[in-house]
Amino acid sequence: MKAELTDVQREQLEKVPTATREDRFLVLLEEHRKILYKVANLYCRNRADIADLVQEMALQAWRSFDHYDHSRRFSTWLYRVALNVAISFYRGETRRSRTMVPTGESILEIAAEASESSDLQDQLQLLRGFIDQLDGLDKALVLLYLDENPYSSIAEVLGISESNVGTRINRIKQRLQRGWADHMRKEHTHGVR
Amino acid sequence: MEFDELKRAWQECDRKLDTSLHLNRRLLQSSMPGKAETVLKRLSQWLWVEVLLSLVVAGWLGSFVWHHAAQSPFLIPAAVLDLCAIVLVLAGIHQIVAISRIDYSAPVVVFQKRLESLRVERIRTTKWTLRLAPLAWTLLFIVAMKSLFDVDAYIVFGTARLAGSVIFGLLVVAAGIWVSRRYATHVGHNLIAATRFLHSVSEFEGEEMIGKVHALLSRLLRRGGLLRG
Repeated sequence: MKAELTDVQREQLEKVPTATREDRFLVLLEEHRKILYKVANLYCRNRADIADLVQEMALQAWRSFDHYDHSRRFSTWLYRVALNVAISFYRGETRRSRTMVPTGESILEIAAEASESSDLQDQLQLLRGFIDQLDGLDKALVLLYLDENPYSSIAEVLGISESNVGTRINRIKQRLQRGWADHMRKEHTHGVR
Repeated sequence: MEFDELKRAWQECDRKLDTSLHLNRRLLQSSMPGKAETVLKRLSQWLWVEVLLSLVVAGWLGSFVWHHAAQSPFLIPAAVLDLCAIVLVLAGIHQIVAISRIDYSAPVVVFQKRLESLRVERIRTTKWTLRLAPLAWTLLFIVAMKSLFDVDAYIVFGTARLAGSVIFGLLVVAAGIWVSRRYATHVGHNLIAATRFLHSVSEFEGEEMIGKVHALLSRLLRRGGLLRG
């Protein structure tokens, strides 16, 4: 079942007089929950840290919800909040106490582990290894690119120009290719020995 | 291996998340209203405490200056300390205002620059407060003895001993500065990390010009038929 709401459903919700600000926020967050999960997974390895980070992002989004301009895309706004929290968290700046997360519970829960093919797992592991080498800002750029955001949205989230986005992405791609070539060379050398 | 091959793997994983990821509404709702106590909020609360304490000290010193305006041996140390306390109050208020203006929904580059600048400012304020503290002790001692016990430290301990203490304080300050410069990588680790990060954010943002030049060149080459697409 696809959890995303249609524009019509969202508009209907906006019209419901009893729908509180909290309800609207929850509906939008539900619709874009994957953003929180993906950002947290990219910046943290540890499960407890991921749960902490997701909670921090959700709470910070709630606190900043007054600043959200409803005429603009919620996803762009949520990416900004999530990435700002994650980069700060990743730098150890906003690491907070874990007392707010009850043991074994998280704001985002995965019902069942997705059964991935070994090929897919290998590729994801490779991608993960590559992304881990990037700094906080480049990680954000790669995530936005992988999520198929257009350059204009990436530029809007990060606060840089579209041409800069293009230049940086090309550079990252070249770096990946170089890294991959080195990796293959090493594999080959080990194979020969 | 092309980046776009990995992109496909990512999208496959993304599709699977749709069905397996659920928002725990109950937990979110229970922790939502007004409980977002971030480190920034805690820092802001701590800064308020600092500002209030500095204000109390500044008020006490101001009153001392007022009552000893005609006695320069007491007026000068108290005025110097009062000035330092006022600077600390202003620095604290400046940081509180800066924290209150931080908006998590601002563009990433803008937010990170603001946050890191704030961090640098905080580290610098703490560093200079600690560095200059050895100088303040003698002055504070003179003022406190007079204010709390009505004892004239110049008479009891002698001007030479007090002057010696100030000189010793100066030496400690100089030694502190030398040590922090000599072993900057160890002592000022946080400041270095913060300024490095600020530099990397500016660099990230600074690619702007390169991007513009690149776009302009591509346009020109396309017009000249030297580049396709």
